Amino acid sequence: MSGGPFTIGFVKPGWYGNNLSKTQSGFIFPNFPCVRYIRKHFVISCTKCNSPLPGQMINSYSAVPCPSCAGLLRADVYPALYRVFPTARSGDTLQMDKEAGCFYHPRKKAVVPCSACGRFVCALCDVALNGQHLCPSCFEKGKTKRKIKNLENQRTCYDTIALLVATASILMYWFTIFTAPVVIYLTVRHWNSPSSIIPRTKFRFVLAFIIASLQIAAWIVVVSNLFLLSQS
Amino acid sequence: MVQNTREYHKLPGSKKGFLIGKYTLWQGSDHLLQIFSRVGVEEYKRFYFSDIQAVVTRKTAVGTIQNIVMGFLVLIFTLPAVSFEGGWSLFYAIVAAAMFFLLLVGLFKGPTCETKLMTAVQTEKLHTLHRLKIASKVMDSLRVHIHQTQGVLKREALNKMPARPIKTQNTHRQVSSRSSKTTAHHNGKGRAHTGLFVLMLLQGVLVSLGFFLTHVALTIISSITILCMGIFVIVALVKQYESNMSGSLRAITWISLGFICINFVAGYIISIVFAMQNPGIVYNQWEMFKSMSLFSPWESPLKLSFDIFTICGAVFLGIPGLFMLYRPGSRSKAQATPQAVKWRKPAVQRNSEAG
Repeated sequence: MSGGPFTIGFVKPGWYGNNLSKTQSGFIFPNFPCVRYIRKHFVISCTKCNSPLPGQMINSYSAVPCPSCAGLLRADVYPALYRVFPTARSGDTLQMDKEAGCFYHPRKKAVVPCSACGRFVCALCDVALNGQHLCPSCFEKGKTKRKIKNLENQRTCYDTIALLVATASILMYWFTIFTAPVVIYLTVRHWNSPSSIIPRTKFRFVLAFIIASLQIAAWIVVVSNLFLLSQS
Repeated sequence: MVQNTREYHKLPGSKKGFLIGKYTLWQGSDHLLQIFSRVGVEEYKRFYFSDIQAVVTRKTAVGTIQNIVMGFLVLIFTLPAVSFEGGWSLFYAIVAAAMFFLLLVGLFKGPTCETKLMTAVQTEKLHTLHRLKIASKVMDSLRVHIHQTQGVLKREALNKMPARPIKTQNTHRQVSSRSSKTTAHHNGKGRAHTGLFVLMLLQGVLVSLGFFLTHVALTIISSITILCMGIFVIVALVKQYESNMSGSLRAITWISLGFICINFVAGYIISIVFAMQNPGIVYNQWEMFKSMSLFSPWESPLKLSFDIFTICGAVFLGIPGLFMLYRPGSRSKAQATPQAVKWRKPAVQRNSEAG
C-alpha cells in the first residue's frame, strides 16, 4: 500500500488503520469516534474577536453586528456543517476462493473494476472521482500526467509568458534582439500546450508572435542600414 | 468551444496580490475555483459546493482608512497646486486629480470586508471578496447553488447553537496553558506607541503650520518633536518585543522607524544644501538656525517636497497607528479576556461538551 491512492496531500490510510472518512472532493481525514463526536457540535465564531455567534445571527443573509466586538458580520451556514461523514470501508475479506480479489490486496474482496484499466479493486482502493471508479495507480497517473483536470492545482500559461516577454522587453529595446527569438520559440513550441484551466483563445500567442516578428524586422532593418552605412 | 467557455463563469471581484499576481474567483458546475495568477503561472484552489460548510464575511476598516488617507493626500497636493504657478502648479494639480479619482473609486466601491470559506478540513480566505457589496452579491448567488447541492439548513438546527462555548476540563487546561503563555508574552500597554503616534501627528500639524507661519519657536518645537519621535520609536520597538500586540501595529512601528530615519537624513541634506547656499552663516549655528526657521517651503521645491513627505508620513502612520492601538475589541479586549483575541482559533469551533 506504499504510496497508496490517498496521497494527494492528505493522509495515508495506514496511519490511522482504516478508520477514515472522505469528502466528495476526495479529501480523507481520520474518523475516530472522538472526531465523529466533536463534529456534531459546532459553533461559528466571529472572525475578528473569535466569540461564538448566536444562532439568530446565522443565515440572516445580511450584515449584523457581532454581540461581542460590534463588527458587522454575515455568516451563511450550510447543512455540510452538520454532516457526519460515513466511515470509509476497509474492504471485506474473501470468504470463498471463487470470489474476485482486489488487484492490490489479493485477500480482500473486489467491489468494482477500475474505469481506466479494468483491474478489480477492493473498497479501500476504490477512488470515486467525477462519477468514475479508479484504482490507486490510475489515480496517481491521472494526477502526475494531468489527465484528471480536477486534481490540477497549478498550470504554466506560456501564452501569457510569451506576451509578457514580448511587451516588457520594449521598455529596454536593446534586449529585444534576444527576447524576440525566445518569444517566437515559445509561441511555436507551446502552441498546442494546455494553457489556463479557464478556456481562452490563442490571442496572446498571436499578439506575442506579431510583436516579436516586428521586433526582429526592426533589427534586420537597423543592422542592414548600419551595414550599408559602413560600406558607403 | 462554446461548451468550454461555459465551463466556468467569472464571479465579480478581483484582488491584486502583493507586488505581483492577481486573484480571481470562478464558478464551475459543482465547485468554486479560486485562481492566483502571477507571471504566467496559475495556482488553483477548488471548493466543492457539497463540501462548503460556511461562508463568513466581516466588514473591515481598511476602506475607511484608505479613503481618509486619500482625502488628506488630495488636500495636501491641492494646496501647492493652488499656490504655485506654472509647471509646478500643473504637476501638483495632476497628482491631486489622480488622488481624487482614486478617492472617488474607493468611495464608489464601498466598504471593505474579509471573507472566509470553511469546509470540513480547511478555512480559506476568499481574496476576491474584499468589498462588502460584491461579497454580498456573490454570497447570494452561491447560496442558491449550495442549497441546490446540499439542501436548505433548518432554522431549528441553527437555534441549537450555544451562545457560548461550554468549558470542560480540556478547555480549562487550554486556558491555563494559554495564561501561562501570556506571562511569557507580556501585555503591552502601548504607552510608548501612543506617544509615538501622537508625536507624529503633532509633527504633521507643526509642518503644516510651517506653510502659513515661519517662526523660530515653531522650528524649535518641531525639532524637539522629531527628536522625541526618535526616542519613542526605539522605546516602542523594545516594548513591543514579545508583547501581545497585533502584527499590523508592530509593522506600523517598524515603518515609523524607517520614516523617522529618512526624515533625519532628509533634514540633514536640506541643512547641507542650505549651508552651501548661504556660506556666510555656516560658522554661526544660531544664525543658521534662525535663517532656516524663516525659510518658507514655498520658496524651495526641495523643502516643499520634504514637508509634504513629512505630513504624508505623519498622517499615514499616525492615524492608522492610533486606530489600531485603540480600535474596539482588539488590544484592550485581549487584556480583559486573555483567551479572546491573542489565541486565535479557527472560525468554526467545536463545542466539546454540548449535546
